[in-house]
Amino acid sequence: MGDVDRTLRAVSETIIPGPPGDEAFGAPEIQAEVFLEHYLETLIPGLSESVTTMLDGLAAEEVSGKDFADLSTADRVTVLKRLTSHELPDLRDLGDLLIVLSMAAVYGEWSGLDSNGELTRVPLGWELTGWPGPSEGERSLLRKRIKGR
Amino acid sequence: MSAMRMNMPDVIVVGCGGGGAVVAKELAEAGLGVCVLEAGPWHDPQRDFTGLEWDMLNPIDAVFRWGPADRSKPPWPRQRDGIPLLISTAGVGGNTLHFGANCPRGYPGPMELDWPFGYGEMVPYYEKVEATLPVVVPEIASPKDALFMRGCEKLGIEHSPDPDVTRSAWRMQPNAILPVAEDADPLRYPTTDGCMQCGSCIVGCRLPDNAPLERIAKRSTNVSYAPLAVRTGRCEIRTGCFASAVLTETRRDGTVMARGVRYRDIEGRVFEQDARVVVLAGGAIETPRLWLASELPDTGSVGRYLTTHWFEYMSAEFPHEVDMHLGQTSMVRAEFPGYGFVESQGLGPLSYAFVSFLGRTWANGDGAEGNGAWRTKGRLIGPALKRKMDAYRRTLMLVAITDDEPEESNGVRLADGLADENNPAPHVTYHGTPSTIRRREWLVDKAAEILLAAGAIPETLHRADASPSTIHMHGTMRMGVDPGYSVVDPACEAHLVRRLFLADTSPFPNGIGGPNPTLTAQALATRTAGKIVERYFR
Repeated sequence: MGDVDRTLRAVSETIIPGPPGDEAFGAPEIQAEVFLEHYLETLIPGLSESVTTMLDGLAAEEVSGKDFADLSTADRVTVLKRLTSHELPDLRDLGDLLIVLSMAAVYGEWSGLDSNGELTRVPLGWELTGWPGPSEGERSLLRKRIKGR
Repeated sequence: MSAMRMNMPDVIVVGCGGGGAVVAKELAEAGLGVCVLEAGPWHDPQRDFTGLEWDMLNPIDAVFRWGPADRSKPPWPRQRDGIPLLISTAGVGGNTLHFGANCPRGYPGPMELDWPFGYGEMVPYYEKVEATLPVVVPEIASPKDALFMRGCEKLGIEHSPDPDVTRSAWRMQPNAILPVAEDADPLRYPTTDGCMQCGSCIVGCRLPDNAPLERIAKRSTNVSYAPLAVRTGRCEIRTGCFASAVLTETRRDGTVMARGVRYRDIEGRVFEQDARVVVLAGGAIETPRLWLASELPDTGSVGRYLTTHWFEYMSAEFPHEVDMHLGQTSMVRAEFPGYGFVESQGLGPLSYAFVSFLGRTWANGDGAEGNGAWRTKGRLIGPALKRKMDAYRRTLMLVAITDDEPEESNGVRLADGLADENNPAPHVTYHGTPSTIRRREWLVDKAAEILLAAGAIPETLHRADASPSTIHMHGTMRMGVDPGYSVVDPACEAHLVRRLFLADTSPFPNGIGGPNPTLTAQALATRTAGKIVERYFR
């Protein structure tokens, strides 16, 4: 069985790639696999290992003898598509969850949090999209004070 | 907010969301003693709402999840068939905590058709809720909404501000949000007061900074009706209390009567609370679940006829900045009675990614194929997703919200082999009917026309192919005259259990034509409060 971190890293970089496949930073540069593993383990202890076993099993069916992390990007996508359209609802949900967590790691606030959970730097996704983050108000869209009041 | 403790309330209300808080306030103002049982906490918006999308909205451990107040504990489980996303929030305010605050009335046509009393009967109750929340038509549109408006106008869609919608037209959204604030320095209460146009409606409104609870701009019931109820001195809201059974007694003549509620508090202690009347207001999933778990008499309609307005999300890029994140989540809507409506919507990048690029189907290859005007349709990952997200600031997103039809097989039952600490979990089924799909596709085509008329780059039109969800949910405990096709009578009292009423979206006989359901639920709850007083407390 492949290493959990390596497998989850392969999942998240397939969803949100970074260099050299893509110009801008993506999941690998923020170690999104840490986020995925945390939430998989929060839901069910041991789930991240089960996911690794399952993905490696599906990968071996796709390309004999290879773990998920060893597959080409195209073959990883094929495996993820098979998982998210699996006949068992729980497996479909698990496939969707891997995509949700990968998106959340990059486009949510996690990469800007410090070890205490405080937002101390600009998360990667905010940089990529230009979202300035939560605001105290948008002055350009407020009523203008009438002179003399 | 502190509250009194009562031993024998006149009325128990189960759930303090969009409807429960309203019926509680109305009954307490009428002089009754009211006890509200709420499964979640009563948040302090300025302390608890961070404005961070994952922290506030994720289904696993977010502030607004469906689960215990202790976020280290797992969420409450649910089973699904055909409807992957079951959105509910535990806490005072319920789903109004994360709603966009759009508060239109239902369409008169469908309500005249299927509701046991006409639309006109509802108007005074609509007016009362609109004044109480209040519902305000914003006077300054954000850039995204101005763009949507321009598309509607270029397409020749008429403008009509009429709240009673009988023909196709666009209008500014009637939102349960205080009037737009005045620019001031510092930008905080009491120097200024009202909506700060920050774009955070759905992640929980906490502004203006320093505002007291009752001056928070978005009028979720945690800052509007619930404080009004408690202020009467006759309403107690017990948070962290999950109702597990409706208690009944049977008279000699065989009449079944509600007599109270069994519930579990946050420390796991089980209590039974008696009252003269019980009102269920847990929403269109939890209300039938509690009914079924309590083994109450069933007319055959309990848990059936769920409607959801099956949403579709569509987006396109523009040659200039759109800045969907600015302003109230949605400030303009285009109504199409007979089909539903389309609105502009602004979300933070993570929410935008979830609703737009996690559809039912996978876009082919790099997302190069769509259908009709849509150049891509469905799920995107990899470089194609990143390119879409790179264009976030130049993207306008529209939502189509469909008039779906009641179908007996869509609904809620108790799950097999899955439970939380109280009862079997709910099993929710929803599959769109052919009519619903046809209406939805009509709205999607209309949205494409609006986007292109507004100046969208044609090569960038994308539709999500979104799965059904319970962002809107109604109709699992239908109201009607005939017990053969309904659970409650036109006063929202159960046909087969006297002194048991409903005050959420579950009594809706249909999807009210597509409009956002909260205002209608609140108007109906206001009416039901009057019926309760009339029948049992005069």
